[in-house]
Amino acid sequence: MVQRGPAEPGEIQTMMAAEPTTAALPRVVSEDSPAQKHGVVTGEDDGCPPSPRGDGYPTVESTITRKVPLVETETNGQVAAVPPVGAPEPQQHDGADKENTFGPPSDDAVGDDASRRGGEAEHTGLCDADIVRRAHEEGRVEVVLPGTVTQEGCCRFVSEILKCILYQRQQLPMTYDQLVYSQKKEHTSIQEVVSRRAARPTDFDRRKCHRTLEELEEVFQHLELLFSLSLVPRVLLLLGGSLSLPKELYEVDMEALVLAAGDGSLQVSSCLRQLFRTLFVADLLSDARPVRLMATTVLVLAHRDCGVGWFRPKLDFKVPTRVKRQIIALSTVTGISSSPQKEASDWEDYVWFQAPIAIKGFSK
Amino acid sequence: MEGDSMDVSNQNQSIHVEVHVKSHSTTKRSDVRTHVLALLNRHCTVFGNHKWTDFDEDFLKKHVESVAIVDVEEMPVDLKSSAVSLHIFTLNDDGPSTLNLEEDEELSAANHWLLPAAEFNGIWESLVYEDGVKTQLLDYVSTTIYFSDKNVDSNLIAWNRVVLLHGPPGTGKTSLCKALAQKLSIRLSNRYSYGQFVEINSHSLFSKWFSESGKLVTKMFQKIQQLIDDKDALVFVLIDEVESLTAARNASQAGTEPSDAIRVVNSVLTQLDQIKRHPNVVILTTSNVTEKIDLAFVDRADIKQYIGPPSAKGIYNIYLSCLEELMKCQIIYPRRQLFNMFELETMGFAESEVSEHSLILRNIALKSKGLSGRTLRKLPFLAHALFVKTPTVTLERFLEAIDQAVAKQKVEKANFANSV
Repeated sequence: MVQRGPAEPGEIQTMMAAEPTTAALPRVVSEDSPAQKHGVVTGEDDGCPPSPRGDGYPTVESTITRKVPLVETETNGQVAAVPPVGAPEPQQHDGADKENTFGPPSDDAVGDDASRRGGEAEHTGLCDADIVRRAHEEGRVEVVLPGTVTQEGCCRFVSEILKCILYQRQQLPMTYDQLVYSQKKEHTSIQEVVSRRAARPTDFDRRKCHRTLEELEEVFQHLELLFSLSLVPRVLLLLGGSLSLPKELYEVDMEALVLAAGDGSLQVSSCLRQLFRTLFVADLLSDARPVRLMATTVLVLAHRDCGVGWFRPKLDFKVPTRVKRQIIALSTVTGISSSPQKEASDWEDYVWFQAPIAIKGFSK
Repeated sequence: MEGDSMDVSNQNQSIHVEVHVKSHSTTKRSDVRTHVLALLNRHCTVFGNHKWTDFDEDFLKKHVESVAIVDVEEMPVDLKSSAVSLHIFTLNDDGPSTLNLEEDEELSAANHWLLPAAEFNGIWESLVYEDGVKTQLLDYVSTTIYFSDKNVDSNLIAWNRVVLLHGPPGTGKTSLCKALAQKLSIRLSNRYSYGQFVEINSHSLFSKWFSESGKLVTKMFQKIQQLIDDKDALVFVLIDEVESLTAARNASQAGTEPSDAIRVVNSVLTQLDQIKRHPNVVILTTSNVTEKIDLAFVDRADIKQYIGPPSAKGIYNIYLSCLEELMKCQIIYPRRQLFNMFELETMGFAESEVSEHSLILRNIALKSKGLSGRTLRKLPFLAHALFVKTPTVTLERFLEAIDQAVAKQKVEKANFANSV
């Protein structure tokens, strides 16, 4: 049996490079580095037209591009004592650094913001080496945000993490936003060319892609609704296997986040930047082994009386303990007072809700 | 915990009430319990098995699908004087997930359900057997678990956690296994928080590589071991058509069986011995051809239950449930009263206007003896397809159609036997 070893990321990359219209991609990243995937994604994203959502958010990928070099300068200057984290790390930064010049200039202000925030993160003692060590030993990545966030922000964190996991764990051939974009483009081109032959071999693939995207879109919408109805301290993402014995288990722990209404809260984009920087430094998601397609189930801890209809309550569900759990713990830096602290007893009324559809990935 | 397991073993003294909570309900179990107890208090005496699905109270209407008093003898039950144990459950409506043995293998080696599963709901009630078969099986597993809880030394008193159901095809052996697992996961919900049901595809355990099949069996049982390791789960393993895994080894001495098959049998036997040390697992097996099964396996089965074709009484009950369903769906219209066998017996099969239809049905049931359960369940369908041909039909006309369908079925069976 031939083990598909390190060659795998390369394959993905070629697949992706072939996909969108970005022929003049600045791909500076060396081919065999595990971190290259991020580099490529970012590169493509910059090459791509702006986020198809058009809602003003930068997409996760562009966030990454712009975020990394900025914090990087800091690692060079301020924390020079920190030993370089793994070989792939600097390469990723190099790549991203150069790509950064392609980023739209309008985001510079936000970028500066992030670098300041990054500095704050350093003060709380979370240096890169620590992040990597904790990720590997405890399967836990801590992201300490320097201020309060909104409930909608939390929802965005969760959906962006879900998108990222689906792509990184090879359940989607491209990132979600790229897929949405390419599908839109395909759709319009189809309408132009009316003479569409039926039952082409690609039709099946396209339908599969379409279905997956629709399902994801539905999940995102209902997540948004749920977050507006209830406080959500935890979210679980289960990949493969069954509810009691999944193949992979990711937990987003938001219990320690201090929530506040709009005004004084941090910008979602800068939080996302910090979140994904930490995630990629921790190297939590890039397992070099090839992964087969599996169903992804989303479980959300929410208040029992929140009245959400779409999600199915699972009162008897217990978080599987015999699977390695990867925890992404979001919290607010200590010192920012929150509204009355939650007692342990308050959580008793929080029960698990399961999304009624499992997201089946696809590969092209 | 102690009390719960006692309840289980003393089936006859206590009354089991199964409360099916709606799947979208998020209310606390304790609230459901108080409301259901209040409901039971309002009804002092119930006649035999009874199921409430319509409730006056808003809370029950909103959160509870059904409350059922189950598995009691056909006699008045005094709810006040007897111990009532409530089993509150919701159904898992996601379908089976698959277990794969090898990473690159597309074919699944086993299907895996979380119990209680929506798919298995109602199977238990639909199965009609001679008196006691179902309760015996229930009691067997309950005792197994009771013994394990009491830490009975298994070297002194041995039990293997293996049930073998055998009998002609179409008698509902596989369904019975599924129903039994469902029932027990509801019954023992106080003891185990959920049930797992693993249906092994035995063909997937044979490898194309010589000598690999034995290893595949071991791998399979390792997967099952992972499930068993969760002490909160009650694990049922169903090996359907078990003769394919445990073919008699002496046949291979005649050279008709490859030696790899012997390794499979050996592997299954040793794995079964391994697994029986765990208190929370039950192996359910079925077979049509018992003479082909290896004796060492048969010896390991604690219960070897023969499941035969249904008796006239059983057939009557099967027809009755079919007709009730058709009347519910208004395919048979208008609705008519049909008595069950017990009521007919108490009336002494006396002919009267009200019992007329029931007696016709009984005659059809007597005629249908010898047909398998599977055939009986599809007879109303065939009757409608072949002899009714109108959207709605009266009960009289439909009974005639069933009668014709039975006759046709008998002729077909005879022709089939002649041609062979």
